[in-house]
Amino acid sequence: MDRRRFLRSSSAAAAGLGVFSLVPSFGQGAGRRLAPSERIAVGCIGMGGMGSGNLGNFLGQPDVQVLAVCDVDRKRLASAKATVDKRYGNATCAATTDFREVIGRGDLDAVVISTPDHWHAIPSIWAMRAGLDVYGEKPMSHCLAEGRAIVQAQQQYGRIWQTGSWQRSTGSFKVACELIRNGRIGKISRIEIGLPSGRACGPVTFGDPPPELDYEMWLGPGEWAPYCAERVHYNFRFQYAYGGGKIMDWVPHHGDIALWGMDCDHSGPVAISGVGDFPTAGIYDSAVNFAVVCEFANGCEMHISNKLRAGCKWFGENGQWVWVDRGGFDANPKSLLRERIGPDEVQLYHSTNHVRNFLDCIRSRREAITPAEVAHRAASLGHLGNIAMRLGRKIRFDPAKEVVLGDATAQQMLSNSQRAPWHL
Amino acid sequence: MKIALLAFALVAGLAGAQTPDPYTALRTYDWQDRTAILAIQQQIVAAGTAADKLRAVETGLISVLTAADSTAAAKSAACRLLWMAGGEACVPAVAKLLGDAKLSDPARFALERNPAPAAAAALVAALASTSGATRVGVINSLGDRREPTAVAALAKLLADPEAATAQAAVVALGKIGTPAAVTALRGVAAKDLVTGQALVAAADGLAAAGRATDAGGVLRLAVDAAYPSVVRAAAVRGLVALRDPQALATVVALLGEADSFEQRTAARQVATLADPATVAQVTPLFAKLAAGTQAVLLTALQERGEAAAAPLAMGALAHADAAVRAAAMRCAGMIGGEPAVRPLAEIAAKPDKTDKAVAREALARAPGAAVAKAIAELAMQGPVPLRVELLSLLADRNQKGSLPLFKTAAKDADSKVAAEAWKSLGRMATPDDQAELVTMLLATRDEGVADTAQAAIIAASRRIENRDAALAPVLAAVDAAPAEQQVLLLGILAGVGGDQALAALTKATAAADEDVKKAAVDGLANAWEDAKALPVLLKLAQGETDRVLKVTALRGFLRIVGQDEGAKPEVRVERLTAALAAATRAQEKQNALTILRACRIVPAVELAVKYLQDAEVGQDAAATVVDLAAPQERNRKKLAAVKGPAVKAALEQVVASAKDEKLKEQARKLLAQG
Repeated sequence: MDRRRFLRSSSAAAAGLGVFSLVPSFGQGAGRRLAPSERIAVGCIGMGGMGSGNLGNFLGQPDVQVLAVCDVDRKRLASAKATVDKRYGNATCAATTDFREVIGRGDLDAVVISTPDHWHAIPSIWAMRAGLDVYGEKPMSHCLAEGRAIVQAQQQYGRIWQTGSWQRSTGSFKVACELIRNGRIGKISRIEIGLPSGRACGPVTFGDPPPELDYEMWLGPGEWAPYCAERVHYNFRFQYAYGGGKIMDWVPHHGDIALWGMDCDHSGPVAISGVGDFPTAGIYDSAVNFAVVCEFANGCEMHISNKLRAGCKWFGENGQWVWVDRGGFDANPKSLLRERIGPDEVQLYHSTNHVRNFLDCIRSRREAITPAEVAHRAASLGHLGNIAMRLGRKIRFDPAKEVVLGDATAQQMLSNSQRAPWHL
Repeated sequence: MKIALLAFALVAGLAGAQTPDPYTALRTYDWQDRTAILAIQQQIVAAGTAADKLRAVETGLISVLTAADSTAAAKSAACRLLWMAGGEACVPAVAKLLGDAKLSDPARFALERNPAPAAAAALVAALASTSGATRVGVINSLGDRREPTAVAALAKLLADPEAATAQAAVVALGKIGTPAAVTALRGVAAKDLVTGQALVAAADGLAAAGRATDAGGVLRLAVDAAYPSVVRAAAVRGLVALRDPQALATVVALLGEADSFEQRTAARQVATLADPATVAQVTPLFAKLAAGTQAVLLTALQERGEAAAAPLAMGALAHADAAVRAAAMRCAGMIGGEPAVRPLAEIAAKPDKTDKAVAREALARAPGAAVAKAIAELAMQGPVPLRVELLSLLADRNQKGSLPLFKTAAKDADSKVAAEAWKSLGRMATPDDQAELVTMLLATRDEGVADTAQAAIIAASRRIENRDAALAPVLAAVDAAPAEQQVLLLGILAGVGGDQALAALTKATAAADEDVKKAAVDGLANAWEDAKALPVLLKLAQGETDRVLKVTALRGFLRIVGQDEGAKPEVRVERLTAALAAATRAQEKQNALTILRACRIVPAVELAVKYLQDAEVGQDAAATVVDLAAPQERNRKKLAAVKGPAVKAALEQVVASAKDEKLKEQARKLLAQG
C-alpha cells in the first residue's frame, strides 16, 4: 500500500467505531526487551510545534531509531516523515493519523507524546499498558484525575515516564533548587512564579475543516464543537475543553521548579485561591490574566500570576532570596550564586540533557528526572488554580488523598469525561 | 498581590451581572457568544456551596434542556454547567439525552460525576436502551464512576456479540474493582491483554479499598504465564507494592526465566522489595542474567542501598558491557564505601572518556566520612595519575577540610599534581587564603604551574565581592616584587579588576622594565572587563612609541567599546571617533567601523562618511553606511534603520563613489524607499 492510500485508510478507520478498542493492535502485549547494543525504537505522536522539536531532539541521539510518526494533520505528518526519512537516508518511517497504529506496532520501546492537552492521558496510559515507556509533553494532564490515572498506569506497568519539563535538565534550575533544599536562605515563606499571559479572541467563523485535518480525531475525547481555525493546533490551550489556559501551559515548568526546590514535588497545596480575567466573547474561555495563591501545610505561600516577574523566586529569611529563569539566575546575597553543594548535603537528581536522561533510564529502568508523580504534582497547581478561579472561592485540598474538602462542586471539577468511545 | 486579585475579580465579576435571564438567552447559544454561559457561571460562583442557590441554577438549566427551542449547542452547554451544579433534580432531563447520538456525550458528562444515586440508575438503565458507540460511552461512564450497582448489568454484557461492547464491559468491571466485579472477570475465558489489564486495575481498586489480601490473589492470577508479558510484569510490580508474602519468590522466579520483558521488570523490583532476604536471594542469579537485565539489577541494588550488594557491584566494574560497567560504578559509589574509592579512582584515571565520566560522577556523589577520608588520603599518597584525578574531585565534592591538602599539593614536585591542586584552590579558596596564595605563587618556580596559580588566584579573587579587598595582598606585593613576579601579579590585577588594580596597572604602563610594561598593557588590553580602562588605553593608542604596544592598546580599546553595549550610542560614537583617529592600520579601522554599526544614530553615519574615500577602508565605510540606513536583526534583536537627510546624503555618496556594485544597488534601493 502506498503512503497516500495508507493515510486515507487509517483516517477512515479512525472515524469509525470498530477500531477504538485496544485489540488487535495491542493484542500481543509481549513487551520488548532491549539489548544494550540495540537502538531504542521510538514512535512520535503529535507533530506540531513541540512535537517537531521533540522529534529533532530524538533524531539527534545516536542510539535512537524513530520508526513511526503520527499526527491528525496530514501536512504536518508528511513533513515529519520527510524529516525522519532524510535523517536516516531511506523512506521507511511509518506515518499514520491514528496513534493506536503507533502504539500497537510491537517493535517500539518508547513513544513521544506531543499532542494537545486533552489528548495526553489516553495515548499515554494506553502506551504504558502496552509496555512502552513515554516521553510526554507538559502539562501532563487535562484534569487532576487524568494526571493521577497516568501516575497509576506508570506505577502499575513499571514504565519510564519523562515529562517535557526540561528545565530540570538545564541551566541553573538544579543549582537554585539545591540552594533552597540545603537551607541556604533559611525557611521559605513565599514563592513567586511569573508566567505568560493568556489570550482572548473575537468572533470566529465556523466551517469545514481543511482536507488535511482529521478533525474528528483531533477532537477525540474532548467536547464536540464546530471547527474553526482558531480552535485547533497551538490554540487548543486557550479553551478549557482541550487545554487549561496559559497557567497550565507554563506552571509545569516554573511550578515544577518551585516544588522541586521546596521538596514538595510529591505533595501539593492545602488551600488554593485565585481570580481570573476571563474572555467574554469568542471561543476562548480560559483566563487571560490570573493570580493564584497556593498555601502549603508548612505555611509557605506560592503566588502564581502573569503579573509577576517571569521565572521562580523563593523568599527566605532575613531578606534573602533566590530567583531563576531560563538564562537568568540571581540571589541575595550574591555570594549564594557561588555556593557549591557537597556529597553529604542534599544532592538533587543530576541530568544535563532531558532526552538523554529518558533514554538512559529506558536502559537502566531508573526513574527519570521528571517522573509521572512529579509532573502530576506540578500540573495539579494549575488544575487547582483553574478550579479556584472558575469558582471564585478558596478551596481546601488534601494533597495526600487528592480530594477537595467541603466543596462538592470543586471536587467534581477534579475530573473530566471522555467522548465515546474514548476512555482512560 | 491583593491589589491584583481585586482588579481581576472586578473584571471577572462584571461578566454575569448584565444578563437578566441567562437561561432564556442560553437557549439560542451558537457555540460563539458566551455571555449567557458566563452569567450562569457567575451565579454558580455566587451560590458558593449553598445548596438552595445551586438548586436554582440547576432548575434554570433543566429549563434549557426541556425547552423545545433550545439548540443542541445550548443543551450541550447546559450539561457542561450541570457538571458544576447538577444534583438529583436534573437527572430525568439529562437521562433523556443519553440515547441521543449527538447529545449522549454531554449528558454522560453531566451524570458521570453527579453524586445522586439516580444518576447511576439512569446510566445503568441506559445500557438496555442504547447500542453501539452510545452504549459503549455509557459503559465507560459507569466504569469511571466505579459504580458497584452496575456490576450485574455489565457482567451480562461480557458475552455481548458486539466485541466493542464486551470489551468495554471488561474494562469497566476492572475499574469498578469490587469482589463482585472480580468474580465476573474471572468468568472471562480469554487470558488476553484487555482481561489481564482489567484484573490489574481491579487489584488496584481492591488494594485502595483496604483489601490487600484479595488484591494479592487477583495479581497472582495475572502472573500466570498465559497472560501477555505486560500483564505479568504489572502483576509482579503490584505484588511488590502490596508487600505480598509471595513477592520475593515471584521476582526470583521471573529472574530465573529466559531474558524477557518480565525479567527486566522483576529486576527493577529489587529496589523496593520489602523482604530482608532480597539481596541474598537475587545476587546469586546475577551471572546468568542477560547484560541488559544485569544493568537494571545493579541500578535497583544501588537504590536499595544495602552494603551487602557492594561485592557484586565491585565485581562488575570490569564487565565487558559498558552499560553494566556504568551501573556497577554508580552502585559501587553509593553503597561500596571506602573499598570502592581506589578502584573507581583507577577507572577515572584511565583514558576511556565514558567510563572516566561515570567513575568521577560516582566518586563525586559517594557519601560518608570514610569515603571522604579515603579520597583525601589517596589524593596525597597515591600514584600521580590518581592524585591528579582526586585533587580535582575533592573540589567537585566541595569536600570540607581540603584546603590544607590543596596547599600542600600545590607545592608538590610533580607539576601535574601541583597544577591540579592550584586549580582546586581556585575553586575553593576563601578570602582568608588570599595572602597565603600570593606568597605561594611568588615561591613557585615552575612557569606552567605559576600560570595555573595565577589563574587560580584570579578565580578565587573574583568570587569575593569587594575586589579591592580581594587584591590587597597582590597590591601590597606588586611594587616590591622582582620584574618576573610583577608580571604575574599584574596579570592577576587585570583579571580581577577594581579601582586600585586599575591604578596599579596604569602606573605600570609607564614602567621602565619592558616586560612589566608589556604585562600591564596586555592585561588592560586583553583581560580588563569594563570601560574604566578606556582612557589609559586610548592614551597608549595615541602616544605610545612602541608600535606593538600601541596596536595592542588600540585593539583592547576597541574590544571594550564593542563589549560595552550599555553605553549610550553617542558615547560609543565619540569613542570610535577617537579610535579611528588614533588608528594607523586598516585592520583597526575596519574593526572600528564594524562596531559603529551597532550605534543606530545619525552621528554614526556621519562618522562612516568621513572614511568613504579612504583607500583602505572606503568599502567598509560604505558597507557601514548601508547597514545603518536599513533595519537589521542581530542576535535576535531588531535594530532600527537610521533616517534623516544626513543618511540620504550618505547613501548618495555611496552610490556615487563606492566600488562595490552590490553596495551601490543596496544604497539605491534604500534611497528609493525614502
